[in-house]
Amino acid sequence: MNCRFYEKFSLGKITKKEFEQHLKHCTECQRMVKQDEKIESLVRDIKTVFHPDKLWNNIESSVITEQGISKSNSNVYRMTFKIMRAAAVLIIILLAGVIIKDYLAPQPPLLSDNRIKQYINEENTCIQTIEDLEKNVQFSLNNGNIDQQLRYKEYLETVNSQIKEYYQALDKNPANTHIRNYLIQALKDKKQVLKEFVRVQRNS
Amino acid sequence: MKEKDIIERCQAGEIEAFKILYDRYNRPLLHTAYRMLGNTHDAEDAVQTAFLKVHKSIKGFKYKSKFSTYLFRILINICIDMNKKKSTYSSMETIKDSAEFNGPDYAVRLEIDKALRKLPSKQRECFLLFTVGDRKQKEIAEILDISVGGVKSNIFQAKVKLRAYLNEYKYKD
Repeated sequence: MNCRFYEKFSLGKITKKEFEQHLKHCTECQRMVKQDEKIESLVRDIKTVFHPDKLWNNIESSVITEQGISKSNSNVYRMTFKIMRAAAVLIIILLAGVIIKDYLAPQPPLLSDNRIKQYINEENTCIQTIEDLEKNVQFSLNNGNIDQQLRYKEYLETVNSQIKEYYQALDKNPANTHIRNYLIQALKDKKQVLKEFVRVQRNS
Repeated sequence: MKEKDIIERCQAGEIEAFKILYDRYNRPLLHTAYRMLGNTHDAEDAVQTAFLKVHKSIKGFKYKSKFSTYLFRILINICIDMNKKKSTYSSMETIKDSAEFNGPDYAVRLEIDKALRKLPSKQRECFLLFTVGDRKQKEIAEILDISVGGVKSNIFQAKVKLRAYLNEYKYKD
């Protein structure tokens, strides 16, 4: 191979027109061009039979499966996101509650020592009355209306548990006005109920 | 229909639009893959993988290159990987059984196939994209990430070697 025109043309160093002019009289280039055209046509001409429809079916089913998976994944992500959002809201509410309770809520007024003594006296008076009344109360199957007795008993148990809670709270903070008031009220309620129950028992 | 419109429909998840792209490109892709890999089965596998990869990533396609460039680049990379994984190229025994090596020009086709396999990979890729893939030199440069001059040189060198190889085997036009 001595002529370099075909190479120059292939590498873009001369124009198509220049090469065509040269090709008219160069047998070497003519032979190379002809051989290349034959090679290219043989390489292009593929006899093998492909199955594009079958191939598309495979692609389509893979795509559909993939879309299904990504859709279900996105549903899971959406659900997880909702749960996380709900959890975040709950945490914020709880934190806000703690802040309001501990820092922003008005603190109950504190009692002076003298006022505490007055409350304790009042409580003791109530307790004394309750103890006296309790001596007269008899829960018995043979004693009057059983349903009525059970109702009183149930109510007294509820009041007793409240009184117990108030005492526990006052152990931590004896000067808390609110709890002192609640305790007095609970003791008065208990006294009233016992009085009523004694009266009912006497009448029956 | 404009390719951009089809791609936008694909990006919106329309499988029918994806089928249009498949119909448009499956033939040059299959032929290129066939010449790169040497057998029908691998060629179909490569094209299937390429289309699935494209479907997965088409939402991120930003028209920085032509869609065909993007598609061929994916296919060529798949073919290169598949060739690397295969310890040897498909044995000639299995290839001889295929329709490619029956009928007229049987001997020449066999020699061309052998000669193609002997080409350095870049020369083979450039030559096949140009002839079988029917890509322009500029597009081949983008697909293979080389200069247009490099593409021209690789195609020319491939032709010289194929010619020499066939002349050696007494191929006469």
